[in-house]
Amino acid sequence: MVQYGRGLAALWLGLSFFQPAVLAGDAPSYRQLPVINGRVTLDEYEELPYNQALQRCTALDCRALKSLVRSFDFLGRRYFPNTMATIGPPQLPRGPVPIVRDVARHPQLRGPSCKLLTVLAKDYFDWSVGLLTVELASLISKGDRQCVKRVVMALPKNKETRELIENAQEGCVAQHEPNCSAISFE
Amino acid sequence: MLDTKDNINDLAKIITSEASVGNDAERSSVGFTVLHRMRRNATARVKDVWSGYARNQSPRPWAIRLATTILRNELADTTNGATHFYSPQYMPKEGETTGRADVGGGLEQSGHLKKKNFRPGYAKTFPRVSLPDVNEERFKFWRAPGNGAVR
Repeated sequence: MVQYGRGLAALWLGLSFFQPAVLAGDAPSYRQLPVINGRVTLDEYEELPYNQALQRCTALDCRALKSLVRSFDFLGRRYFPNTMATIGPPQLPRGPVPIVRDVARHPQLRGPSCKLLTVLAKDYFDWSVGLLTVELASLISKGDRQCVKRVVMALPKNKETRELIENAQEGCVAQHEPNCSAISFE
Repeated sequence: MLDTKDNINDLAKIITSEASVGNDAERSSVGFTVLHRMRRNATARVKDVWSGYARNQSPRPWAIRLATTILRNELADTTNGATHFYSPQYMPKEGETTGRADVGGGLEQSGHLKKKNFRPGYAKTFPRVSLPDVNEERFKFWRAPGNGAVR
């Protein structure tokens, strides 16, 4: 099992795929980002949530990436509640998952978000990141099953992924999330 | 006999609630902490120790299977008696508000996390159990000293 961080590093790489569109939309902000092309190190990934340039960037793809970074964190806090490190009951995050809320308000975010998740799925190295990637794709696929289908199809075809998809589908059904039937290799 | 229907369901509920998106090693290690607490508290019922765990999610099929193997002693326990755990990734970080988190253990550096995270008080005095295949950013396990009951 490789490091957790590599998952979102792939998201960062994914951002580079959108360079032309971003440049057209918000060139100055985008140019301020320290990492645009090439391989991203784990350290660079870990800095992503704290990256001031990304926080300032308002291009569509940056907004999608920021929302996804927040969403991974949101789901992580929900699924790793740290019960034994909390005084009183665990403080689980409330309200909608950020990317779901953001896509509902700004449907144009669905496309770039889905592309980023597809890139991540292609190169996921970590079980948790893989599961959360599929879950987020499912959550933003309301009315558009193609997104979650694309993400699932992008996953590498191997035994672990088969298990991952089974787990993701079970989680989807248990939590009454949308598009669970699309979480399948078939 | 530990593998009663209630125990399997209760343990599966705990594992699902605490580590639903953890990897296999993390899920089973969380499960074994329950077993260790049961032994140390001299009880055969998961419910007698479950107040220390989250139980907010319904048990998934994989968790039912895992709980069954743990309670039937069909899975090798490599956790060296671990009784406690937390997730450094989701603890408050240096400079952040700490809310209701137990931060009595002060700050620590965990793996590749960019900022130091706070740790709970028991991490100051309990020995840490390092486990292969458990991602250090996601989980750290600890063992309460001695063999007495664990609260």
